[in-house]
Amino acid sequence: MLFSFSDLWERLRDRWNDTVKPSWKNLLSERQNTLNLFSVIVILELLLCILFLSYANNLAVEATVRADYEAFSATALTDTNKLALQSAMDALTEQLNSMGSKNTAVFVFAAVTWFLTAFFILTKMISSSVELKKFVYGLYIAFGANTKKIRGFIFCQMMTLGLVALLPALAIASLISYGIYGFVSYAAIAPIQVIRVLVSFAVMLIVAIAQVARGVTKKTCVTLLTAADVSDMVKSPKRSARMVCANRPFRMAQIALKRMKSHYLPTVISASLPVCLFFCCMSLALSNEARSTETVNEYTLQYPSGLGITSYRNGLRQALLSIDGITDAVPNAAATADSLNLHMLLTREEANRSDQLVSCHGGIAYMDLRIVSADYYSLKEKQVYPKGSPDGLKGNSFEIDMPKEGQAILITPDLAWGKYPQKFQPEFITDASTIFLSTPSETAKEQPLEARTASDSHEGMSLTLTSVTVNGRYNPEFPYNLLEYRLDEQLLVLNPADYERMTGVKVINNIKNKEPSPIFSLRELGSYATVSTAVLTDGAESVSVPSLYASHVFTAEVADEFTTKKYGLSADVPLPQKAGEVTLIRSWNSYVSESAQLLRVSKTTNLPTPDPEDLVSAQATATDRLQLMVSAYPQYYTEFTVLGTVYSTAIDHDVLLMYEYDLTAATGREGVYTDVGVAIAANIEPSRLCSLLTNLNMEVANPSFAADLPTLTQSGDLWNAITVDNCQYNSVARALATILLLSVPFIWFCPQFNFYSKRKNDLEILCAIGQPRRVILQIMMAEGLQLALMSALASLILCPIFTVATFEFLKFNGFPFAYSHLDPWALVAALIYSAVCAFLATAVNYPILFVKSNGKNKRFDLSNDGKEFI
Amino acid sequence: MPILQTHDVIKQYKQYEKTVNAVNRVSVEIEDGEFVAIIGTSGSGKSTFINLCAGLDTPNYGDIMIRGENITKMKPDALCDFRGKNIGFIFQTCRLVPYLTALENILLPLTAADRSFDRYSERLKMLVARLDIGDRLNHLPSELSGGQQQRVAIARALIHYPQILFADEPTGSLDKESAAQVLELLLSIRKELNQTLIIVTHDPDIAARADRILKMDNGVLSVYRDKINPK
Repeated sequence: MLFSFSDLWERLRDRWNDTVKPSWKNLLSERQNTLNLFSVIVILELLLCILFLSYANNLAVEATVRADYEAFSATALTDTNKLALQSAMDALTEQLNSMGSKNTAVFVFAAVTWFLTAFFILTKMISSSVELKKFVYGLYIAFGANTKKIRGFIFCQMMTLGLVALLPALAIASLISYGIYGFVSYAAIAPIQVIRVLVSFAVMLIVAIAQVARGVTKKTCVTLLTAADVSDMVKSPKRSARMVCANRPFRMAQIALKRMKSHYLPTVISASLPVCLFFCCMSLALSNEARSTETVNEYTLQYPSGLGITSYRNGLRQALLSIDGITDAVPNAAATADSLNLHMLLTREEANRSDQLVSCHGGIAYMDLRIVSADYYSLKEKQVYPKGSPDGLKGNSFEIDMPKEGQAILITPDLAWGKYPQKFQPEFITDASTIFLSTPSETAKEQPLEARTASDSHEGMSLTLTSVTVNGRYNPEFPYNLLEYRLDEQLLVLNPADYERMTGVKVINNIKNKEPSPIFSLRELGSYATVSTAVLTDGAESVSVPSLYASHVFTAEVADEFTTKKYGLSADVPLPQKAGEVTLIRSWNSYVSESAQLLRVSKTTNLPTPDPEDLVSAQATATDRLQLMVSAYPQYYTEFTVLGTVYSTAIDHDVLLMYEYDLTAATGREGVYTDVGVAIAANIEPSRLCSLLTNLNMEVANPSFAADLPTLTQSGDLWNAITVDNCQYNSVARALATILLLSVPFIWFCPQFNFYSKRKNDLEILCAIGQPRRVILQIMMAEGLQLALMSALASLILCPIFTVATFEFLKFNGFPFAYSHLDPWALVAALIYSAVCAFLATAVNYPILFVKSNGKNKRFDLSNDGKEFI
Repeated sequence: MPILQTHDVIKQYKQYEKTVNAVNRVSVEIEDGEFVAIIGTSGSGKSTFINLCAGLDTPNYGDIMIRGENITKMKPDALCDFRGKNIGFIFQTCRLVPYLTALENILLPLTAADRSFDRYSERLKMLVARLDIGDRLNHLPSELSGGQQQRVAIARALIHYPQILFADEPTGSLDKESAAQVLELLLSIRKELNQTLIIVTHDPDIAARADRILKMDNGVLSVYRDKINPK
């Protein structure tokens, strides 16, 4: 027989004698250290318990949603309604299918993060414990213990702690489960959960211990056997000598930190990890919370032939709002202007409601611009803009959200990427009002709209919206806290006289039939040095304007012709810059074509290159440099013929909004909506959603609303609508954050205690050579202070890295988290907490190691100057 | 065949910009069962040399062969295994694990190398009897006298039948009486087991009892006296 129980018993007994028993004795010999390790292990296992618990709960939620959906789809698809539900159903199916993978992705990400964090923390803590007992490990190795033995020895200790820690971890996890879900989840204490936690912990432990054991066995026995103090951490005896020579505690602490960085750096980093994860979890919770309170347009009804305004207002809107679960209906009159070459028109009523409308002339309403900070929605059908590239908007469709029906809000690339704080750049979503569109040919037939007066004889209309797709969406919760940027942009909507008065740039009006015409004078360029972005010139004289968008500063009339010159600073010739100086002219290459949509390009050419050396001449003023550029830099100019005029407008991308009545007057037709967004209540239950869909299906099929039936598509995110509340991501994230924060003091204290235990003699020798005993306290406090700063700094650096990595991962997996929801208070709290823990964990060792041991025999006296020690 | 051979062994330490040769081109051969004493002044490199020979430290240059196997070429784990099978070491201070009992300390070489205790029970009985520590086996080191601790350390060094025993000033931390007792025990057991013993000592009385006395002077080893092959 190959296997016998007696052999097994013998082997087990040997294992007990040669590994388990000594390792337990080793653990018990350093109770303080063991208690610390135990606390950290409880916390790590608790985190793991909650992760598994959350995953199990999410799987259960997914199963419930799927069951509800399947029951609904079984009846919905046999419905004889004419409405094409299939696309909506397909979207639902797809989202349901993605629920599982999203769940798994989040869980895997969290588990990997746990693994790496736990690995780093435990490696540091175990190596700190091993460091304390290096002599014992040295003895074992001297008498034949190899790496495997040392590994097994440490593993046995840690696994023992892991097993014991499982009980409190499970108990606390059950309590937290009750707090989060309102019930003690069976999953929290299920045997499979216990096994999962133990196996995960053991795997992580094996990896962490392998690292430590390798480090121990790599050293010679002599090194281990003689390492009773921290001398082996110090590489250069010279630096040690400097410490003795240092006479101030702060300086001594500084040198100590430097010479023993092999201890301090890993400690700082391992203690900073939970702090960073805390910030990350809090930001995720905040972002998720903000998202879950938003009303989302889950469905879009698309009307191929358009839905009349009256029909919508008097019929469909009322019907939709009467359905339980639908919170709003948001009409949209958008189309791709690129393909239609359209004007955007706005109803008078709607335009008047907007205080952003700044002027009105000849039936064309011009709108001011304002920025809306909006959440980043990576919903399926929404466009994601390339970060930092204004070209991302040009030529692409982009979203325009509807803050309020009838109110237009636009955002331009210039605002979004140029003026807005860098950190918010990718999250912009453009908002616009209900906008109606008419074709150029339609509009051109009518008088007296000035914009159309000259267009009959020219190809197309001059005033076009380029590359904008408008999808309305109603969200009353948008934070409008960023409107101050409107103030900057007000300059763009000044009338010419005001503009001239305020900026010092002369505006020449009423230029007609000049070939080519010196339309502007160069004046006060210096005052423009920092904002100048474009120069309009005829070769002899130029005008600097804040942006080429501000082309409205001149009042060209139909059939005027003039020239713009562009200086090719971005493409082929780099602009030489000197430190501290501002580049006067920045590339606006990408804006020219759109800004000049009211003009027709007729000619483009290139001119020679200047000597860049002249541009960086130390004596050159801002004006000199600009003039030099104007006169000598490579440029190409464009001649334009004005096909339409706009007064005092703040047009960006040449978006024109027209009154509904003007639309009717100009085209003879009623404005129509192309689609209607249907917003549903947040966190709607799956069964209620199914009932809503059925009712929606019935209502929109009513032929009295529109000539043709709409298609119903899913534009929102079912995941967000249904599962956020049920999955309790916020609570889970906050629970994890809190637990992580609890681990920080232990992570600090354990290595510091071990470290000072070994340094005890090193420090006490100071008293022996005549230093007052309070010097030890001062040194420790100084070290604590420096560590606190290091810890706060490390957290400050690592927090954004962790958070960005997490957010990017979640966004990649379809979770619409936004950086605008980063929690600055959590960051501040985390940094302070980290610093305080670092300081206390260092300073508290003084009473424990230096006062307590001394106080056994007699009371410690600071005034004694260490004489009792001698 | 010699049980221990060293060839041109060099061990250097760096002190500031200076390199110190603690052991300088030492070549020596020690026969099986021989009792060799190494004497020399403090800092002459005796302990470093004995640590190198026992595989507790690694030389910068040269070869150390124990029973024909070059331990300087061994990988760390192989060297650990080799040490666990062939080498016993008695340190100057007893270096007992403070939280293990005397018995557990004696059995440390067995637990370190995962050996079954059963095979060594006779050896344990013999050592305990010879060293007279039977009534102290369940005591912690802190409950033992210096002499008793060193006797436990001797038992620990011999429990696993080492081929060669190194002792680095085994009586250095004991009073004269205890030192004499420990030494007598060590030598009698060595004689009984025909053990190769290499001992580092300052004590001329101990050295006088060795088969051969080697003298270490500034890292250079020379024969001080050879009883077996007197010149």
